Order: sequence, then C-alpha cells, then structure tokens
Amino acid sequence: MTLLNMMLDVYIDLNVTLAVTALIWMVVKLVMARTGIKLAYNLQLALLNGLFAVLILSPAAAALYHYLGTLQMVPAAASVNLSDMVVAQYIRGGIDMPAQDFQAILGMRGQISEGILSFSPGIGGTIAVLLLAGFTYFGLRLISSFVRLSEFLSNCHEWRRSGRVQLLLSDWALVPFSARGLRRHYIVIPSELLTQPEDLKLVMRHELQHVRQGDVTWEIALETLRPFFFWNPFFYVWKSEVERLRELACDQKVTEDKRIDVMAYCMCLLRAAQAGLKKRQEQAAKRVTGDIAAVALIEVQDKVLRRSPSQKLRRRVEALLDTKQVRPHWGVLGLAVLPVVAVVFLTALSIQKPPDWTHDRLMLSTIVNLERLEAINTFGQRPLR
Amino acid sequence: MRKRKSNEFLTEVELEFMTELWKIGEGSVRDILDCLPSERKLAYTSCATIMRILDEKGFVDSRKEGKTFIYSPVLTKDAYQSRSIRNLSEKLFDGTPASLVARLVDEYEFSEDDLEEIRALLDRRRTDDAT
Repeated sequence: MTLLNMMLDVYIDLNVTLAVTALIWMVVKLVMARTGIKLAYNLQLALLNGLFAVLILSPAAAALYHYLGTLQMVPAAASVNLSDMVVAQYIRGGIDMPAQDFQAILGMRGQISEGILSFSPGIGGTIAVLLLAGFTYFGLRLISSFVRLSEFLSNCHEWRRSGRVQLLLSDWALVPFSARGLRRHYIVIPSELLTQPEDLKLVMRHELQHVRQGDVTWEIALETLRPFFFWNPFFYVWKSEVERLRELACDQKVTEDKRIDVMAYCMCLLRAAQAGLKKRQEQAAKRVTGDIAAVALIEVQDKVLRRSPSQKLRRRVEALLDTKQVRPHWGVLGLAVLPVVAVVFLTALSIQKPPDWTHDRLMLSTIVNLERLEAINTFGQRPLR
Repeated sequence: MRKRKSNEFLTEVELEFMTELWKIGEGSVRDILDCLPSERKLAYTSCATIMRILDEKGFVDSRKEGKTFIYSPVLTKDAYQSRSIRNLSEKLFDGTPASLVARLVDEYEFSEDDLEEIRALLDRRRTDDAT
C-alpha cells in the first residue's frame, strides 16, 4: 500500500468517525434535554473538545491497535471490523443478494479510492477534482484570513502586556475579541471601550477567560482543519456547537464570581452588540475585521445557515439567567464519558480496511468464483423452453 | 519607540480629547481630564492611553516636563475639519461637494444671518477666483 493510499484511507476514516461522533454528541444532547440534565457549560465544552481530540487521534490509536495485534499482544478474537462482520452475516445467510453484487458493494470504497488517486474518469476523478478544488479554495481562504488578522493586529495600538497576554486597542474592531500567535495571546478591545470602565472590566474578564479555556487555540485548530473537512456537514455542526458552548461556558465562568452582577453582565453584552452593530453599519463597505482564528465577545456578523446574532445573544442571556446547572464529580463524569470514547474508538477501528483475508472472506471469494464458473458453464447450454 | 500608526481620522473619543486640546493649546493628561465634563468619569490611565494613541497616530506631539508629558496638537482644528469634509464629500457624496452643500442647506434650518454669511463667503470666493 502506498503512502498516498494510506493517507486517503485515514482521511476517509476520519470523516466517517467525525460523522458518527457528531451523531453521538447530538444523541447525548437530546437525552440530556429530555431528562432535564443541565450539565455545566464548561464541562460540556471540555467533553466536546476532548471528543474531538479522541476523534483526531483515533486513526493513530487504530494503527497502534493493529500493530499490537501483529505482535499478538491483542487477542485475535478482539478484532473489530465492520466489513468482516457484514461478510460473516452474508455467509450465514443474513443478507440475500448475489455474491458478485455483494462483493462489488464491499469493494466500492477501494475502487473509488483508486479512482481518486489515479484521477481516472468517472466518479473517482470527479471526486478528486472537487476535493482538490475545495481544499485549495478553503486553504487559500485560511491563509488570507491569517494574513488579514495579522495585519489587523499590527495596526492595533498596544495598551498593556502581562506575561504572554498582550492587550491591544483598535479603532476598527467591531467587538472585543481574542486571538493568538505562536507564543502570544492577544486581546483586542475597541478603543471607545476605554471610556466605559465598568464594561471594560467585564469584557476583560470574558476575554481572559477565553484565553484560560484555550478557546482561541481550539478555534485555530478547527479552522486549520476546515480545508480538509469542508464538504462534511458534520464538521460545521461540530464547529457551531463549539462556538455556542465556548461563549456560554465563558459567560457562566465569569458570572460565577460573586462580585459580578449577572444583570450588569447581560447589559454589557447588549451594549457590546449595539456598539458592534453600529460600527458594522459604518464599516459596511470595508471588511476590516479578521473573522477567523479569533474568538469574539459577541457576534454581530450574519453567517450563512447559522442562527442570527440576535438569536444567539438571546440564548446567552437566557442561559445566564438559568442557574440550575449540574457539576458531577469528575469520577462520575469519567464513567459516563468512557462509553462514548469507546464507541468513537470502536467506530474508528471498525471502518478500517481489513488487514488480511478472513475465513469468511475466503468463503465469499469461493462463492463468487463458483457463481462465475456456473455462468461460464451455462454459455453452451441450450436455453430452456 | 513604537512605530507610528497611520490613521487619518479620529474616533469619537479621540475627537473629544482633541477638541479640548485645541481649546487649551497644549496640556498634560490631567489638564485635558479637567476640561472634560465631570459626568464623563474617565480614569486617568484611560485618558493617558488615549493621548498615547493620538501621539502614535501623529495627531499630537509630546514632550516631557519632569514626570509629565505635555501634549500639543500637530494638526489645527481647521486642517482636520477640511480633511473630514473632503473625506465625507468623496465617500458619501461621490466627490461632488455641491450635493453635500445642497444636503446641508436642505437639512439645516439656517437663519437669515447664516444665509447672509454663506452668501458673503461665496461672493468673496468668486472675487478671489476672478483676480
């Protein structure tokens, strides 16, 4: 197997695992909503980010598992492979279909993969062209956004510096936001906020909480992955969940401080939204704000297929006023999370290409050969009347 | 020293500060703060930051007197008014100052004295152009 084949396999596996993980998350969310369990937002965010890390590492974990299998450190009976299971089901008579058709379905992924890698005319070639075009478009967009963000940051005025966090003031920022470079974190504050000391204090707490939560790093990671997952709708579902939860978690964490008045915080959000909208109208002609790889206090830009900024703000205020949140012991949480992680890992493992021929696969191959032989043998026979 | 950030225009707050500085000619952060209405309740550090930004943008010059920075405007109020009105005319009125003036005349309720003054201004401009 060439390196390209391997990379394409990992890519397909990751996309399928992402879809399954996103579905699992949605089911968990639905169950929590139905049972009335309201898990604290920072825990939900940690779970979501943790699951994403598991998902990204799953191909490596699956490879390690196979490697351990070759060293016979993992029992052979513990092998989990979806296509092996389907073949076994077919051999037992659970699937009623001609063997040749069944084998064609099983080999479809391999055929398409070959088509993609060899740019052969047909489905494979078309998919390869679309993937390359999408990757190039989103990759260039990512680079351009980073350049714009970097230019934007360099045009800001330095206000203060504390450790690795640099506070910047901008005339152009619609709303306060956090960004980061390789080593430094940046918090950008619209300069007019200097004249509103109370709001400034709340905004600073909010943005510093984003830095503490590592939200900007996650945002950069997700944006960097966008060119790879651009066609996968579950990637967008996942990203919108992360965006929603990180703001709710941040709001919740800031208002946990007894010195912070929740009403004052809500009013601060409203004022920030109002100021952002006013500025957006003023800057309508020029897109000056870097809109990616940064985490804003509040959204004022409409996005395609997303809730409107006003709906999001309303949800945040409602969440802030709802204080009945559960914070289970980490041990209990760990026990609840373990099955989910196991399902993600099993999914990653089960969708991999089978490493070698199993007994059932040999049987299937024999059946296919027999069917072919039978077809050849009937060529010379007089048709039945 | 930090590099100068080129920005031709002032934000609302900066304009407020510059207006006070134009009035007093030159002064420290404390002097400007004293000129602002008492209900503004601005922190000294915030004012100092705004003045530093104005310095970076090149709208003011600063010199140190003891431990205090004394700021003086680089640009006169008239020069800034001209720059702003030119920008407004170019961006919003498609570079046709006549439409800007027309809008102004339509929207504002001018007194007889104002109109007389404008007429005098136009006459003077015509005479200047003729000579």
